[in-house]
Amino acid sequence: MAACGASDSSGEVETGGAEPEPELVPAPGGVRRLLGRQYIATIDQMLGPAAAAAAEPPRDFPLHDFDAIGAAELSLSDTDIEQYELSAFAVAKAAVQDRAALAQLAPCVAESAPDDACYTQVAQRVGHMAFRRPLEAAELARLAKIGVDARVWGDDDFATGLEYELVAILQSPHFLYVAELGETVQPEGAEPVPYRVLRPNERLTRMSLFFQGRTPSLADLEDVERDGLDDAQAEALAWEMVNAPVARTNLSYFFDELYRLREVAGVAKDTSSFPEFSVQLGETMRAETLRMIATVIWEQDDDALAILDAPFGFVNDELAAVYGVPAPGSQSLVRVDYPPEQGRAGVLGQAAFLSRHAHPAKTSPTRRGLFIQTKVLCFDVPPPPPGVDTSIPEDDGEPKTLREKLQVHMENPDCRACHSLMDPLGFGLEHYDPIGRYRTHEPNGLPIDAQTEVTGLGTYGDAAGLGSLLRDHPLVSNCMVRNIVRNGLGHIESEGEEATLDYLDETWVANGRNMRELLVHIATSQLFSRVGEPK
Amino acid sequence: MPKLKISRRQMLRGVLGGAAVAVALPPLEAMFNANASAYANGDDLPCRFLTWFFGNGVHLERFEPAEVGPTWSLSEQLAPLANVKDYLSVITGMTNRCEELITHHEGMTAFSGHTMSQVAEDELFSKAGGPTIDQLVADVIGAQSPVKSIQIGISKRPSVMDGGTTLYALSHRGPEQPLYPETNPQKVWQTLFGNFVPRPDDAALRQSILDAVSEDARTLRSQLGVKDRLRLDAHLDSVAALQQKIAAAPPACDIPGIPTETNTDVQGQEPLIAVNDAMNALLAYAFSCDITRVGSVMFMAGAGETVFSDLGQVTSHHDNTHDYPFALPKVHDAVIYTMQRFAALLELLRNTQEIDGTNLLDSTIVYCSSDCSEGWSHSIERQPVILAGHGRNKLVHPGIHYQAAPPPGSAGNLSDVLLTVLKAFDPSATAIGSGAPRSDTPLIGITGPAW
Repeated sequence: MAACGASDSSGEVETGGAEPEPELVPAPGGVRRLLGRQYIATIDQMLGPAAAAAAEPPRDFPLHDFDAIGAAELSLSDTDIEQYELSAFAVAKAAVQDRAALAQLAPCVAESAPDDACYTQVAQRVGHMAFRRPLEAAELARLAKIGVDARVWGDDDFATGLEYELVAILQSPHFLYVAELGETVQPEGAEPVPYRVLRPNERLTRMSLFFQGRTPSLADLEDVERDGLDDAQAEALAWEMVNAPVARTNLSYFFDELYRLREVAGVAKDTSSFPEFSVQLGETMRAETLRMIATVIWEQDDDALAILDAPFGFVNDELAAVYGVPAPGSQSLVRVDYPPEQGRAGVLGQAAFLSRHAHPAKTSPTRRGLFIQTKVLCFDVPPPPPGVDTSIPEDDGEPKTLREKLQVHMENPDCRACHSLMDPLGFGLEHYDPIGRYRTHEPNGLPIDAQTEVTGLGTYGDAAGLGSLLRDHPLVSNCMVRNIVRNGLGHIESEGEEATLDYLDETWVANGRNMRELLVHIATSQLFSRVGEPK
Repeated sequence: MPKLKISRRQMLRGVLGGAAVAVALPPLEAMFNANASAYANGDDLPCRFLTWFFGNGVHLERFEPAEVGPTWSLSEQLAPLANVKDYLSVITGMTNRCEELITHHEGMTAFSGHTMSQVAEDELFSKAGGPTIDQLVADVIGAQSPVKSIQIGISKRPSVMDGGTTLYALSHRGPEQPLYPETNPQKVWQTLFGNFVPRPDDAALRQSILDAVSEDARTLRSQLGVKDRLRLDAHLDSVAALQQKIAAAPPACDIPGIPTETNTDVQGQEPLIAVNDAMNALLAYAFSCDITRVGSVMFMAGAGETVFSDLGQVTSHHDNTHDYPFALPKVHDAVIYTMQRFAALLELLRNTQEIDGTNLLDSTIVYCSSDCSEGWSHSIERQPVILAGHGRNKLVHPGIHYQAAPPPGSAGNLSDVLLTVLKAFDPSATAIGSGAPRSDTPLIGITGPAW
């Protein structure tokens, strides 16, 4: 039985895809834990900014580079459960002290002398928003009783009752775990279908997390519970959500994780060779890449993959020195065009990526190449065989460039198969040192030869050349779609999803690779309306 | 540390007469039986267990002691442990029989006896293959103290090349249940002592809320598939553990003040010595007060990128092991430094007296190993284990050097050591691990008279 109002027609997409959407065999459904930032953002909307500021959820741990996958697969620990209790108390105290947001949901809390019926109202309204569904009578009664018991314990203080009631709601698994279970569909007289259909509130929640980084407002939940959420409604909603300011913030978290920008500030650098590298500089590098990406995607609002060869960046005085451009006289970021002779462009030409994927004192063509293969091209590279000596040969008297030393990877048959996939890619970036600074020579004085040819990609000698080759490579757009879906749904793609992912990519490319359109198309595809049996 | 203070009221709530409430009291003379070998009500005196880990291996020719048996002397890389030498047994020449080799991950089998699971073909990714030894011990003795086990980390620099969970946590309850190490001493303090900080007595309210949480978890669980049910089971277990903690009476010890150390870097450099000292103090105090009896200390993560800046180093330890042989001296210095930090823990335990005349190292067993034997080859042959403490004579004391085979090969099954240690806490255990690394043969040679 399909949920009231839900439809699952696969039809042609208005944005001009020539093919109909393939039939999706979705990944398993189940529960996904709210990420820390989603927990906080949800509390912000539910209970206000003071409550959100007090929130302290446990840490997230990524799998396959995405926090969302960790949150979908891993269990919580004893300390996590304790941390949720601590956080719940801190949030509840703040929410009771400053009740403006709470009163929007449950007006009785703002009255001068609320009675016990108010606890029931809070359970109904806050509970509904927190659990993303109306509560059953028994649940309402249980929460209201906690409020009453706490009031009595607290010397008849209504606020105390309110506090403990909120503590109970905030610790419930119905709040912390997002259920994506769907309902079975039984087409009349036909074969059973290999998927379930997400209920309207589940579909809405999936969209809300995807665009807004939080669970839905109570108003939106009530709307879909009343009217359903069919494909046309979902599309209208998706456009509304993608065009809201919070969508920009939320998408930046995706790029933060994809390009490992959170790790830049903590990477070890040889401070005798690079005294300027610091935690602060690393954070600035991270901010620059996020700012460039946001500018390309939201302000230029055209081809999203221009993030791979955009010839501009953002610097403050500290970062300007790394790029050898004039200091802007500012601690905050100012837009700058990179000097053309540096051939610097795009994410892979910016200091954040170059620093994160280098050793403390040396560059690493292998690491940079490995990232491009696995994260930009989504091409798997097997790990090194165990027992192999992975040291780079040192100078044997005759000075060599790093590239020359790495030729041993190509000469050794044990190494060649995989390293030929990585090293040539990274050689093209050898003009950028371990903190991303442009250089024509290595520290030993030898001139750098960064001209490289990569089978299936082309020839280049700098980041701009690499970026423009990648931008139009069919694997790159496909890989971007995959990464967005991995992060958005919390799993690595399964066999049954391949056709849909390829379809989304083909449509995206055919229509100019606009990010807003892609995000809407993903959110209105069967990826967001279907789910497999619970895992 | 403030001295243990026991009030009359708390004495009266003691274990005399077999009171039902779990009480954390340091033992008083009157509580012992006539031989001071057990509590008056028959409970055994507490034994404690710790695992201790550092990544990237050692340098075997400078680590393995030359002499074998009871008359062994410290090698260069074991020399920092001189002050506790009698409490050490060193096991060398054994084979880690992990069935998968992807570098570093397989070394962690030394802590569980299981081959890692979900090994990916296309990235350096794996999850734990089964529960680690500290969790097996915690399942046996954890209920006797308010905190079942504690997971501590010192360095915050994990691997940059690996994925999954195997290398990032020393404690695992299963493939989807890593127990990540906490690297902030203030948060470790919170887990150990925070619940005992006096607060308005709202225990009954907290309990009824947690009862409701458990009910919600069971309702949700009933709608889920197998994998998610395991996660909700873990959630239920953790809620039950918190409920037990809330129900536990406060310890007789003074709650120590919250440490000032937060493990915040100074100019990009980790305060490893200060954090190690702060964590050691918390552990020793927690043991003395019987807040917990089981812990794991991940000094640095598997294939970790720790930079030993105290030694003037600027390249990461993992990088140094792959700059072979030119950075060998740096690797050696880092192993010495690591052993010094390990020694600081063991010395503190040894210097902490209990009222029955034993010290904490007498009543503790510490199991220490790495993620390989040597970092440049990633070999797991001759993967060494250091045992410290004898757990009230469960292990041989003074310790010995047990060498399963002389260099260069290796023999036996490293999991035999794990089984020996497990049986020290659970004599009914007959095997540990699974597959090739499974063991059902404990290493009698390292056992003591009470084993």
